[in-house]
This record gives sequence, C-alpha cells and structure tokens, in this order.
Amino acid sequence: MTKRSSKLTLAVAVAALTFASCGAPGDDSGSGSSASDAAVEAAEALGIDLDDCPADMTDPLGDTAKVGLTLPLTGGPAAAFAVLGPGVKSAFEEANAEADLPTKFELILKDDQFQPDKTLVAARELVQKDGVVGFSGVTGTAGVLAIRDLLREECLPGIGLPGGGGTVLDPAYPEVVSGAVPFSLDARVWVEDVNERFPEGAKIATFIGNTESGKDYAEQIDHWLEETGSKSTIVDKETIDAADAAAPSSAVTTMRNSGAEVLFAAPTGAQCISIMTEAANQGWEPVIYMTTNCSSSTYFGAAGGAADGVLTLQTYKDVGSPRFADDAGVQRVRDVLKEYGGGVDLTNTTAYSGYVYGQMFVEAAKQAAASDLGLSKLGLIVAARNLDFHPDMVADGIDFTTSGLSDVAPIEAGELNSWSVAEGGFQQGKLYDFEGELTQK
Amino acid sequence: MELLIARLIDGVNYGVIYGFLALALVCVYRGTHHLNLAQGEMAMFSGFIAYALHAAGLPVILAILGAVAVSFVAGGVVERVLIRPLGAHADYSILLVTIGLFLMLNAAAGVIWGGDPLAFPSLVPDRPDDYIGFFGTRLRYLPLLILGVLLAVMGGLFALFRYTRLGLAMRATASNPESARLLGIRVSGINALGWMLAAAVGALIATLIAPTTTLTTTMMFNFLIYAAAAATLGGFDSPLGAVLAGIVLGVVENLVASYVGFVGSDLKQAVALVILLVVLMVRPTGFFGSKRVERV
Repeated sequence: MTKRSSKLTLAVAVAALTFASCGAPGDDSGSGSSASDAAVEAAEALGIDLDDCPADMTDPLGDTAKVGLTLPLTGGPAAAFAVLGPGVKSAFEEANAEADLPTKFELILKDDQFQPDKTLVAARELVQKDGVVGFSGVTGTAGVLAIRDLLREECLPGIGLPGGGGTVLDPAYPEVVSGAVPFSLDARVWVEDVNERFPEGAKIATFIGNTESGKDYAEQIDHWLEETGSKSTIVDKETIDAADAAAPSSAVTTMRNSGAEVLFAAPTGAQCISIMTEAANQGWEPVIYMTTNCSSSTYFGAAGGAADGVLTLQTYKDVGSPRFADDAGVQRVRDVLKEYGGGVDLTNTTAYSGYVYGQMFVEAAKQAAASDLGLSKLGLIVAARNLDFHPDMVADGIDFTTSGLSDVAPIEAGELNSWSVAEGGFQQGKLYDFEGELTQK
Repeated sequence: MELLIARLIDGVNYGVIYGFLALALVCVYRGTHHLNLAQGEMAMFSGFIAYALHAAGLPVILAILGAVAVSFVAGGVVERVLIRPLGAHADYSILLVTIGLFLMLNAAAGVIWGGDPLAFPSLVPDRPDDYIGFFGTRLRYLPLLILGVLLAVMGGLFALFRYTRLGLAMRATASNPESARLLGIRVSGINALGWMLAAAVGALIATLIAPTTTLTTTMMFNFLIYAAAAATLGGFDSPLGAVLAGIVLGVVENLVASYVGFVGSDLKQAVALVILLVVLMVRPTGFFGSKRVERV
C-alpha cells in the first residue's frame, strides 16, 4: 500500500463514517448495541461484529486509560526482553507530556516469563482486573498467537506486537497489528537477491531454529522460491534447538559437504554468532543471509572477521552502527528514553524497539482522536488498520503502512545490508520494497 | 572418508564438553548421592565472573584461574549454607534447593550482565585460519585445549583419589559415609570438598567453551541434559565412566544424526535420550557405576 492510497482509503472511511453519523442524529451512545451506523460499517469492514463486542467498544476512552504489556520480567529471557518495558513506556509518557490527546495512557506490565500459556494468563488478568483498553509490545509470534483470541473476544486492539510469523499477519484478526519485520519479507528478500546473484540458480542450505518461527521461515523460503520461479534449489536443511549453545560444527560440516553456495540462516540469540564463526572456522564461504532477528551490531560485532560480508535485512536503525551515530531520529528517541526510560541502558537496541511499538499505539491514538470514530477501542483498531507514518527508528524510505484488511503488514520494506569489519558496522545495501504484497490472500 | 573423519571430530568435540560437565556432576554425586541441577548455571555464572575479571584488566588466563578459585570457594559456601542444613537424607528438599539455585543464578546473571551474548577471548589462537590440517579436515586449537585440560583434570583427580589421604577419605565417604564417620573422617567436610571441586570443574569448562558459545544465561542448558545423560551412562560414581560416556554419547549422537536420514538435526537430542533409555534398561547403574549393596 502506498502512502497516497493509504491516505485515500482512510479519507474514504472517515467520509463514510461522517456521512453515516449524520444519518443517525442523536445516536451518540457508542455502545455495541446502539453504535452509529458508521461505527458498525467501519467495524464490519474489518470483520468485527459490534454485537459480539463489549458495550463500551465505541465509547471515548476517557481522561485516562491503561494499556497492557506482558513480557518476561523473570526467568532466562528476562535478561533480553525486560528492557522492552521502559522503551514502550517511554513512548506513552512522551505522548502524555507532549501530544494533544484527550486520554492519558498508563502502561501496565505483567510478567509472562516468555511462555505463551503464561502470556495468556497475564493478558487475561490485565483485561479483567486492570481493564486495559489495548496491548502494545507483546513479543514473539507464539506470545501474540496466545493472546489473539482474547483480543478478538474482547475486541481490544493489540498495536505494535512484534511477532514476525505469518500467522500474526492473519486478516481474520484485525485487532492484531504487528510491529516486527515479517519472516515473509526476510525470506522474499533473500530469494530475490539470490535470483539476482545467481541467475542460473544456486545450491542453498538452510540453518533454521527448530521452533514455530523456524517452521514459518522454512515455509516462506519454499514459497518464494516457487513464487519467483527461482532456479535455485535447497540441497540441505539443518535445524537447531533454541536452547542449543554448542558451536554448530556438525550442521556446518553437513552443509559444507552438500556443496551449497548460499546459506539462509535463521537461528536465535547467540546462535547468530556461532553459525558465522563456525562457517568461517571450517573454511566454508557461502553467501550468507542472516535473519533480521540477528541484524544487530551486537551479534555481528561479536562474530569478528567471520561476519565480514554477511548479509542481513534491516528495517530498524541499528543504534550501535556508526551510520546512525549522528542520526536525528535516533538522537531524538535516545533523549526520550533518557527522560522517561527510568535509567534504561541507552545502548540497548531492544529498548529502542520497544519505543517503536509504543509509538505505533500512540500514532494510532492520534489518528483515532482526529477521526470521527474518536479515541475509542474501535477508533484505535480502525486507525491501526490504516496506519501511515515513519517512525524515528526506521531507516529512511521505509514507512509503516496498513490499509484495512487488504494490507495488514505494517513493515514490508527493508535494506539488505552487509557487515563490514573495516567500517565496524553495516554497509547500506539495496532497499527492497514489497509494499502491500505480503498480506495472506 | 574425509567427511566421516570430520564428523568423528565434531562428535568428540561435543562429547568432551558433555564429559567435562558430567565430571562436575559426579564430583557432587559421589559424596552426597544428590544430582545438582544447578551445576550448569553455576558453571555459567563462573564464566561471567571470568568475563568480569578480564574486563577489569586481568589477562585471560588469570581471569579463568580467578573464576575457578572463586567458584571453588563458592561451591563450599553453597554446600555449607544451602545443602548441609537440610541433612543427608533430605533428597527432595535438596533437589528443590538446586532448582532454586538454578533459577537464582540464571536471573542474577541476567540482571548483572544483561541479555546480550558477551564475547570471551580464547586462551589459544582461534581465528578461522588457526588450525592443524588432519586428513583433509581441521583440528582447531580450542577443542584440543579443552581435551587436554579435561585429561589433566582427570589425571589430577585420579592422583588425588589414589595417592593422598584426602582422596582416601573421599573414597571412603563415597563408599560408606557411616563407616567413614566412625573412622573419624569429617564426612560433611568431604562433601563440601565435592561441591567445591564440582564448582571449579564447571568454571573451567564454561570459560573454555565461552569463546565458541559466547557468554549467555542459557549457554549451559543443553549441555546439562547431555552431561546428566553421560553421567548416568558412565555411572554417577565413576569420574572416568562419566567422561568416557560423554565422549561416546557425542560421537554416536553425531554419527546417527548425520547418517540416519529420518533423524537428522531435528531429532539429534532424541538419540542421546534413546541411548540413555536403552542403557538404563540393560544396566541401571551405568557402564562403570558400582552396584549399591545394602545389608538387610
């Protein structure tokens, strides 16, 4: 979806709502059963039946409203993800202080230990006890899948939920708006780039985490190889357990022996480093494409010379990269985190990502407040489904856009960058833009 | 042939790590007959201590030795403060305490050192072109060093058990704590020494593998599973058995995963568990474990 057509869609939606509301004078109760025709129409356009939603679905949120975030605050993953909290919170605090919104937002955090079953329990508690009006920042495809039925039942917006799996981009769940780079974008960019580099085809090996996300990657790679008519073939598929910290020497031995010229790698955490170092240690030099989940200078820097020339898709600005050292957007977000982040580590990229997820919610709130639906739960969902903005932490030329149910993926573009040891950071590569093409049909 | 050799080397490299950590498990089990589920996390925490010492300016070798020394003392403190007060027969309570210790150390490491993987330097040259050619494959220095240190530790433990009065006391305590106590041996002190040795051995393996795994709070999760399997296979009261079983486990697992099509990397871990199951059915005490005989 282009910016222009997205704006046009939103304008038509708002005009229709205005027209419909004129036709229903005096009907301003905003409850599910007595919602204006415009609200009903807007909801139906997204597949939402207001009769199945709580009565306050179209009511203004009021002076204050709570937003929920479940995240690992204890247990192993907490070390990596707990810092999301201050990032998301900073976006809301900044909005409360500076944005002219009719509602002040309070972010409520609940521990889920990064376990989907606990994510659901924590989210349910946030809904029932705290009365949150929506969610932001809930991380991981499995976590998002765990709560999407709850969001559906309660008709609550989940805006800026970083899950990259295809199931997160399901139009059947209009309440869910992802904040992550979809795996389908990663896979498509890899395949398109291989098609360009190897017009006659290449032998590809895949090294993918043995997880739900990993299965998604594998499916997307197969899909785009077929869809683009690629002459390349997958000659070896290796997987790795998410908790496996050992150097993947056995997998690399097998992949090297397969004669693969290209490696598609989608491991997690420290495995991002060990796959690069192990390939170099065995003297195997394929063209390596690393998942966007690994695309941080923390991982690439730790891999040393082994990371030189390795390719990865980047949408977000890498705060550790010299390229963005003086970037105005990064500097602005850094200042916001410094002011509202409660002493959060300003070198931690996850905190900056958290800010973007919160910023998506705030942006939807601004759009909703300016629309005829107003800043209500329905207004938030409709606005989030018609987003069009450029977050400060996203590289130039990439916008977050959605359009109803025809374009449900906010992020559909990214730069395929390579790591340069000499530069000590990522070198800007080609911008791939598949705007409006990644929604499941 | 070249590929087979490469896979054998990969398997040995994995197995040496399993065996090394299994040795730490055995050090605790021999004296107390308790499985320390926090052994991996203790090792992980020691690795981070080495990182902190190195970051403070110590050379790598001194940082590693410092972490080993700190861990040696900390192992004794854990035994004295958390384990001993529960008594010798509080099996379930001790198991729960080790789980608590596991969670506490994991969370503490995350709070102190954060969630990002931290690079730790190698004691030996470890750049891609640092290797010895061997039948068309590469023998890298770091796995060779780990094997060498494991052999040295095994030799040291053998000498301790065989040729010193302390070792004799440890063997007596492992064999029959009640009789050892009647002979004037301070059984609780010997048990504490077992925990101290285990912590030191764990610190060694964590700091040695850190250059390849990087330091993370999850770095020892899988290794502990394999180490427990190796200790069970080799015999929980046999240091040599545990190490040999670890190496065998690493090699067999890798060969099966590489050559049995339906296993592959997906079911690699299952191979170890199947081997474990079969051995337990055939020989419950493991290959080198001694049968416990009780007088009735």
